[in-house]
Amino acid sequence: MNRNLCAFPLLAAAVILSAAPVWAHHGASAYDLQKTITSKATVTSLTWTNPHCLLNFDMKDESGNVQNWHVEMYNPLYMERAGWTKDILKAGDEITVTFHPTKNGTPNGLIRAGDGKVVFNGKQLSLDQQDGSDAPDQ
Amino acid sequence: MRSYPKGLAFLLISVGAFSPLAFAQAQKTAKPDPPIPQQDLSGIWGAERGGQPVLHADRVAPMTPAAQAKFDENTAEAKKGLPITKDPAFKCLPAGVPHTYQNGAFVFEIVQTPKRIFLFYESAHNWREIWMDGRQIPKDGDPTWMGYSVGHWDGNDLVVESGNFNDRTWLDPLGHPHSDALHVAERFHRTAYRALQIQFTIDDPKSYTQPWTMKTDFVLRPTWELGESFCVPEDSENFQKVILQPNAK
Repeated sequence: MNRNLCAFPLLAAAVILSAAPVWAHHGASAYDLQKTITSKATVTSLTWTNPHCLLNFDMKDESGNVQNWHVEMYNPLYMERAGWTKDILKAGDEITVTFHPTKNGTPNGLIRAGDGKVVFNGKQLSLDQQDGSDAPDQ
Repeated sequence: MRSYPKGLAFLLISVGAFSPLAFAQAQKTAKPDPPIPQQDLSGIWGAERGGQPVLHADRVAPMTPAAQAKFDENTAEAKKGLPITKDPAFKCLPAGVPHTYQNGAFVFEIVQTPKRIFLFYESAHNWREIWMDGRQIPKDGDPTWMGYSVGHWDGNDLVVESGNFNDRTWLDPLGHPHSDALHVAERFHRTAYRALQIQFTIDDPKSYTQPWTMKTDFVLRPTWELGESFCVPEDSENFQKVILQPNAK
């Protein structure tokens, strides 16, 4: 783990090996799937459109400078099936977010089911679609 | 299919030490899945966790020089470790077959009528019509984005043959091209009440030296409804600008 990251209380990076599916709509080649960032952040907006919803937030870097991040999630219908709404997060909401950053260092990332997390008001927001169909309907 | 010991519910209830999840799972044991229906694939089908179906090919047949050149162009960004941005579906063009099955984390619905089967793809609000009345694919028919499809039952498998495609779509998100000589055979095989596998045989002599296959798996989502999910060009462009080409901001 990067020493600078450890020294900064709001940012912790962890290297993981993940068995979760790596596919995004356009592939996941831009993201470093071996690395996750977990940090407190302040929501700036939630983009609720196809092809992917975007969680936009301000996050401090190791030097304490605030940077605006754009992190992709799933499409709106998927997010609804996971229990989200377009108003679930608003500008100013304080969250703790876990995501994969890009390989090239741009302030973008990927939140996916399995190893991504969004915690708001002490509650983890689900990234798994809720089926409710394990009991057959006929 | 999940299976739990039948005594589990009683055990959990009797000790009073159950979570809501465990209780719900125990309840499921009382209602096993029905048998696989005969020649009935009706319902909404989606991928497992992660939501996006994946077209899997054990082996892609060697490409013709023309197809190889297209493939190299389609995948030039990926070879540099960058996201692919040239997929025609990103411009909200119809994804084609079989790409439409893997075009985001979406589901599709099969609706059967006596002479036609309809496939409604939530992704980009797209659909296909499979003629089941014995007709053949028209010879020299106009090229289409999603093809002209005819089908028949082979036992409990639905076999769909499609042709009359244009050459403007990709076979999959990986950039595999095709020509207007494309013929796709789909075999829908229900392996369990809740499980469906589709195998695709790609036959395109202008692009590949021999036929090759892809397959993808789905689970039944009986409690879901299709949602509206159009591809909106300005939203797609914004996504490309913000996420796929962040250096272009």
